[in-house]
Amino acid sequence: MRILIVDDDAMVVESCKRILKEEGISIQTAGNSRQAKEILEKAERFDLMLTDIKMPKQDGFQLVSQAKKKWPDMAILMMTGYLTQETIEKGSQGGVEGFIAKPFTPEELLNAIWKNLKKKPTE
Amino acid sequence: MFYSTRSKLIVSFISVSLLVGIVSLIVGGQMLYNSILSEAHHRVSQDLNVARVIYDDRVNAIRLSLETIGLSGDVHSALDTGDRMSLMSLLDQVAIRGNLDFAGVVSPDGAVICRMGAYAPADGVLPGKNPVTEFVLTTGDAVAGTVVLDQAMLGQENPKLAQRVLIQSPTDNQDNRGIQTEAGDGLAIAAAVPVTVDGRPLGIIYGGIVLNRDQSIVDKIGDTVFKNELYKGHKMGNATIFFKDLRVSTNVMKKDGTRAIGTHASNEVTQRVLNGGKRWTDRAFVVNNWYITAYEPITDIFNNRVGMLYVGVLEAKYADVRQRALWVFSGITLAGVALSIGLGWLLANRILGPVNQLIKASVEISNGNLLPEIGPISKSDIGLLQKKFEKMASALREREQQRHEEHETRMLQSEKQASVGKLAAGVAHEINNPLTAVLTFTHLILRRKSLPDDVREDLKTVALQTERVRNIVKGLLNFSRQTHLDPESINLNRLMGDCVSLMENNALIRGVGLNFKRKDSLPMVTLDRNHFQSVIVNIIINALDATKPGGQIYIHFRSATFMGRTGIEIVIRDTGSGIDPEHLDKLFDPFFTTKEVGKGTGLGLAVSAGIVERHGGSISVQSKVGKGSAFAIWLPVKPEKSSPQNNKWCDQPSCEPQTGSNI
Repeated sequence: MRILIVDDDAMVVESCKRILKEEGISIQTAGNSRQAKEILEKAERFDLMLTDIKMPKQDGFQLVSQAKKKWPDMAILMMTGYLTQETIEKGSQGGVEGFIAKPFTPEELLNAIWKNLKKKPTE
Repeated sequence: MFYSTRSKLIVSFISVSLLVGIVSLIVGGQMLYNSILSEAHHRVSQDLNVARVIYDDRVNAIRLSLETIGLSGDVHSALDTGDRMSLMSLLDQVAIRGNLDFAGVVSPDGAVICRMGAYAPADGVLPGKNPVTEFVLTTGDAVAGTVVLDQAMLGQENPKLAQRVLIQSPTDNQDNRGIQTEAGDGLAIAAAVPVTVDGRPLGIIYGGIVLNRDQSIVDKIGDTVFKNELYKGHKMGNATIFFKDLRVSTNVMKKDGTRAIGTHASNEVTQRVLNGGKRWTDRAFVVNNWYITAYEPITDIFNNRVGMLYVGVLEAKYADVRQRALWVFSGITLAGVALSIGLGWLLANRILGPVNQLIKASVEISNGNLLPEIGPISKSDIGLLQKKFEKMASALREREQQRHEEHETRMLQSEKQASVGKLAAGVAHEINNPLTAVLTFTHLILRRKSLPDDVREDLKTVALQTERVRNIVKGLLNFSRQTHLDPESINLNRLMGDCVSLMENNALIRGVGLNFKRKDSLPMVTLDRNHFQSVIVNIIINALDATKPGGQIYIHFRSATFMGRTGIEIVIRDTGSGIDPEHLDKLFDPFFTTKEVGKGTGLGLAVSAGIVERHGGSISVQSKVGKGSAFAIWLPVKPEKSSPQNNKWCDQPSCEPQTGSNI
């Protein structure tokens, strides 16, 4: 299983990376949307993209819409420090599978990932 | 307009004055007329008496002049000697002096020996007789009075007289009244006195006036009684001597200005006076005018009714007096009406002035001016109304003030919430990232099995405190993020019952009694069940925290109005420690807490107040230190539309209820 982590906060990226590594998941990380897009262009395929929303230049929503064009089957989980109804609405319309509010414990993150992956079983 | 109080008032005033006016016009007019009429009757009756006296005077004057001459020696000697020429010249003198139409001397045996202008030759006699001399011959006494002379007698006395008495009555041809004067008869006043010397009769002297066409008596009556007074071109009064019912001597004028000789009296008058022998006093139409008239019969020396004496006063003068009186009465009535209109207007203004002012004031109030001018307070009943109105206005002002303050408070509250919300959003985003790292790494380290126990315990503390930070941030976000309400019709008894049973265990553990009193026939209210339940639970938790074991919490309902609206109040009262008065104002402010550090975020009541207000309700608290506190949540019974500010945080129609909005 391959997961792409996108966040402009290095500590958040590092936290997620550490949690997922312990579970033996293959990970790539990006510090902003541009990097994430480059990775998505090159890579064969990710099972899930875990992305922050509030990022400089291009935010999470823009990234999601471009990623969905390239990889319509890829599950997307959004994380944010300020989860509102608006965010959920907007994300859902863009094809986002799930949302998780920061801060979270390793268990909470893993639960969210497994829950959203169930919809799209690994090939 | 015609239904206004002013019109009604004026109309009633007019009605009264008109009624009084018309009644006084009719009754007073009639009374006045009657009194005038009776006065006129009285006057005309007296005038008739005077006329009679004048008539009788004339008769007596004839008699007196005859008696005077009868006593003179010249007459005696002439009679003695049979000097008829001297007698005649004496008669002529008397006739001129007495204005007599005829006069004569009759011998004691009844033969006429001498007349005015003619005397019989010695031993001869003149033809004809005269009723008065016949009377004296029969009775031996002197006589004076009225007599009827026929054409033959008149002719013998004086052919001119016979001509004079001929009066052509315009109605003679068709007259069928049954009272006919013999054609050629004349009415006369005459006297005859016997002339005696030492008891020896020498003869009889007689003389008289033919009344036909002789106007001296009626003119004298006119002069003496009426003074020839004129009223509107007509003689004020007039007099007539009737022979039978025929006017033979009169100063009643016809339209052409000639005397109305030859006309007849009315049948009614003739019947009563001539035939019945009674006086007549009444209004009558004489020739061409209405008169107040009086008639009385004239009897001749043989006591036969041979004619009538009449006087009349023009009715027009009296009728005009009445007319004038009626005009005056009408004028007074009209003045009364005018006065009543004015009075009605004035009164209406006095009464309705303040009322109109009040109407204006109420319009002003409805336009928003709560301090309207209501004019000076009237001393009448209206004053009471004015005072009540003023009281109402001041109550409205108070309420408006209260509403204003309430609004200000709400505005302040929502501004506070808005700024806190912005702050919270920013802070949350910034804090949550490092918190994620802290939480993640703490948990990852805790997963290691090789950790020494003391390190593990310390790490657990780090994790717990980080959780606390997370909860504080979460509460802050919940406070700032006003979630969508999903209202439904709620049975408050059931909702409160649910809340109480949720907290029962908690209360039992703390040793606090939880008493809930249901209320029958409670109206349904429209509420968001989850949000409202969280409000109640929050307040009960606060009450439990403030109450020592053995204390009590009472929950009950009561009906209450708030700012003029009806509603229901939920009261949650505890017997706990109470709230310091200086804390009461800040109680609903975010982050205000009296709990120990770490026990509360200071957001619970702020969020609760926000939820209650968004339901159109209000939350208040009363407290006494050491005695306990009572929270009252007032809710409108009729569902109220949420005010615009409530949608500030969630204005999309698709806005769904948010998860995790617990307080």
